[in-house]
Amino acid sequence: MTADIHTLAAAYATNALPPDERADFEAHLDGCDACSQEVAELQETVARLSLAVAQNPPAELRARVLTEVGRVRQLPSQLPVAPPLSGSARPGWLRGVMATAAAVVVILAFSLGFLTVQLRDRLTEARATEQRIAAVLSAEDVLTRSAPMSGGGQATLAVSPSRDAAVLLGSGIPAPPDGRTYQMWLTGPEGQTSAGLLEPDADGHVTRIASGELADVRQVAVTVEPAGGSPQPTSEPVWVARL
Amino acid sequence: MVSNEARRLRSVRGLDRRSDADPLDENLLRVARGDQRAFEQVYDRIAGPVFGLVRRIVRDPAQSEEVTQEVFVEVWRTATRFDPARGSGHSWVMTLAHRRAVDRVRSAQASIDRDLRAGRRDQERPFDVVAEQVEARMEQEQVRRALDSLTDLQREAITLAYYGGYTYREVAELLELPLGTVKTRLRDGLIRLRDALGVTR
Repeated sequence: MTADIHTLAAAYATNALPPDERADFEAHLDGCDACSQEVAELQETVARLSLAVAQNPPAELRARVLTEVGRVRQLPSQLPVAPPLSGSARPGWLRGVMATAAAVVVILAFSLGFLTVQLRDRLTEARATEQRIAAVLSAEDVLTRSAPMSGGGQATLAVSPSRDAAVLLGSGIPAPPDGRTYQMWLTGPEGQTSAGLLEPDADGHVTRIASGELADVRQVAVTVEPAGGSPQPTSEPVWVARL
Repeated sequence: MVSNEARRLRSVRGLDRRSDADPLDENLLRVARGDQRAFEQVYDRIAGPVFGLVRRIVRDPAQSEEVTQEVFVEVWRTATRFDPARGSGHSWVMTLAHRRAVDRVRSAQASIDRDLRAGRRDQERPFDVVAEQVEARMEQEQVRRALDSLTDLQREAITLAYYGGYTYREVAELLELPLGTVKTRLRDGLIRLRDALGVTR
């Protein structure tokens, strides 16, 4: 049976496997590069077939979809595998920061070259985040920028070029006005890119990690945007750090 | 913000020759960050292929609209799961669409016996629906040529599995063939299509 499983790649790619076999095959895919490769190619192939039967849906469908999408939460991003901390003692100030970080955490992974692992519960998530934050903060080449946020609170950015990661930590941040949200931006040669939305917890703490492709980033900023965020900043920043 | 490394990895491209292949990927990455305007662009670009495929499988117009809506909501909800290193955005969305359409017809309690009695097997033809979009007509030509390169038996197995939404076991029952034969025909046929359409790594 195990030898046969490779022959199911085409059936899998056409969704022609019954549920139990699909689960088995997906488990197999995790460890089989050849099958993953074949599945990817065959999925592209049948996706091409579908182009030939394209048909415009009714115009009203678009509005219905957009309305529903406005009400649906997205899955959070998957976390990269954290580099393990060495066994050496952590400085006291690091412990304090990590305790803050474990409160409310949102992770954003930019780089597509990272290997990602899906973590199943908040405790595991918090631990991995802790490690990642600590990795940045304890890096030999860490740079920090700290400044008050207009409107209240203080935020510190810590960047480690060697880790290619940055951590934004905020405290005392007030909740944004009704219908508005904080949004983080990275400014590079191509302009500003959103690094996601920031939601202070009840204690006014915010934590955000951005990783990958940071070499060209000159500036990190936070603005207040309409709820849901904006594709580009629509107002002057409430906080800026230049790198 | 697509890194060079990601460009090297993202090499399973069914649509390399099309200059509009990249914007969809870029938009999906933005959708993953909550960008609703990027989501609208995704919808506008790919709603036609999604609806057309769903319609082809589900057939009923009202249910097709429902399933199409489900597909796009899932695109929004799970956008963070899109990984350009594993395949194109186009393929990611269409795979999602196909899965949803197939799940819908399977849950409709249409038994194989009923289908056999209704002669459904003979109704499966990929081009019953005339494509409304120019791009789709051009694509039809290439797909038609690619399908022509298959043997009748391969084409039949693929049509039943892909457009009919049958599992390979059901295809084996419908065609009264051993499982191994169906698996082989599916695989060989898809590999031929892959080569004919120029899907490369």
